[in-house]
Amino acid sequence: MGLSVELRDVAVKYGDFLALKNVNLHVEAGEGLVLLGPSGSGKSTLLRAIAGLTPVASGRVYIGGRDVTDLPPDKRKISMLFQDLALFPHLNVFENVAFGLRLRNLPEEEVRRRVVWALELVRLDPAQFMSRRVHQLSGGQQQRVALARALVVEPEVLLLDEPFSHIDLDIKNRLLEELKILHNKLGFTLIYVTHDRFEAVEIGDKVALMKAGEIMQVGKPVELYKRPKNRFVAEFFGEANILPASLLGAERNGYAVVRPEDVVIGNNPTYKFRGQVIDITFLWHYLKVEVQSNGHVFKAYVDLETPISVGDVVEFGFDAKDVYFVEE
Amino acid sequence: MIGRIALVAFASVVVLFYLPFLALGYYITGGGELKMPSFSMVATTFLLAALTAVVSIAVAYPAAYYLAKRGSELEFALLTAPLWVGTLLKAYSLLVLFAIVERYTGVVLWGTAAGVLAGMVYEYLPYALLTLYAAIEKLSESPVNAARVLGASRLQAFLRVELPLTMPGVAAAFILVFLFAMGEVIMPAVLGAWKVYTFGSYVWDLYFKARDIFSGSVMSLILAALSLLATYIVVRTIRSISI
Repeated sequence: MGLSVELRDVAVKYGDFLALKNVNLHVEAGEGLVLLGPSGSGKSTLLRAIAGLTPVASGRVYIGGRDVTDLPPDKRKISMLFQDLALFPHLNVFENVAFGLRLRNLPEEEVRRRVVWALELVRLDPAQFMSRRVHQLSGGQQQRVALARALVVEPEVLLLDEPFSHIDLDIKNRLLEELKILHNKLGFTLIYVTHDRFEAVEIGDKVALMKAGEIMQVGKPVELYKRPKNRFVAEFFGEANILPASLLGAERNGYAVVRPEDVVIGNNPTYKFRGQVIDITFLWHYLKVEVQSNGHVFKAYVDLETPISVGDVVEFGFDAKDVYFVEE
Repeated sequence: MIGRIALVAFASVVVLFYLPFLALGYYITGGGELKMPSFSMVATTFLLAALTAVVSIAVAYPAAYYLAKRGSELEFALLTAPLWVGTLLKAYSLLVLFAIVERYTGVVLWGTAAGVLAGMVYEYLPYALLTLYAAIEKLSESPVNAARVLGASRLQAFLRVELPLTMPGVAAAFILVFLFAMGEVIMPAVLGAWKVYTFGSYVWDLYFKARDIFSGSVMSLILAALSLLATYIVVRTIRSISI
């Protein structure tokens, strides 16, 4: 199950604005990919180009190896969850979910069986919810209906455009968890758009980080975190200390990236600094300490019980093995 | 609250308009015999009004859809241009047009129901257009997109999603045009040449030809009541099939 998705040199223009700049991307069949990026980076546009909702100016889109660039959305074997859900307000829950099935002219019995299946899949009791109007449902329930509606047609590719951005954190986490289980169980290819890096690592086997209409880096979360291709990736994908390479005495241009958990206070690391603590934040698993030194603010994650307070002058630093250099 | 406002609006019409005429008519004629309309006249009026509303909406919907999706301001202004011209002027210009049509095709429009219908549609089309435009314009794109990715063609998405979602606008346009058309006097008089005889013309004749103000005011009350009833039924029907 699931079809691969491939984009070759895809460009999308909105008037004179180039929203996507010759993007290349390959998503394996059944894989879960997250398109991550700040707003305006083109991630939703990319998703809409795959869905066929936005025409591409140049390049080709392939789904399952088949060129679908010129096919309308209804011929692409995809399904999509929208940011605003786009439930049909004039239909009840049953008819919302049954929408895609009705278009396929299935017999009533089959429609009913599959709607019940889909509602159970997203953990909505069919007997209780089937005849409800969508505006009578809570936000989380509406999300589930939208998900059921997208899954009932058994899509090969499921596209999600920030579907959980407007709901409570608890419900969001539970839905993400369930989506992951469904993804494993049903085997469709999943492409998920978000601006939230925490959400991104919850759901994706791979992450594609976008900026200004281009994909900066694609890879497993740990690759992006440990070996960012550039300064932007390092900064957007997790917290980082970004220092000019020259500050470490390296004979090269570019920047040195050091993750805050690799910065140690005290000890005797390779690169040593001395500075004053300007802020300490409690972050559940650790303390985030900000230290001013050499005109930079260094961030360090330290143990919760570390005896340290604002105003202290401390020795700190990091080892050479924890430094990663980027060109730009 | 809304109920009270509605009641005040309704009562003011009755108290300021219908009752004085009724009383005046009764005082002048001293009662007398009520001249009831014939059934065929009532039927003609209803049918013409309903047809006017249906045809206006059928023509205005695609235009309003186009305007809402990608129309220019100029096209908008041009489509509503008939509003700038008075009804009587429109009626007489249409007479000229009818004469031309008759001269070249042999199709007689003057004095026929079709002619009156054409006139009334021309007259009320802009109202239907504006009402429908407002309904279609506020439609968000995402339900249509949702329908598309679920396998609906452009046409299916329109029929199953956009059209039902704009039904309140269709209902509003229907009521507006239907009510106007129910009381229409000028188009049947000029274009129908009194051969297409409607309720509006009848009330007009009672007032200004027969000088029977009592019958006239009773008839206008009946017309108002019938229109109200028809509106009620239409709104209920449309509400039950849409949101």
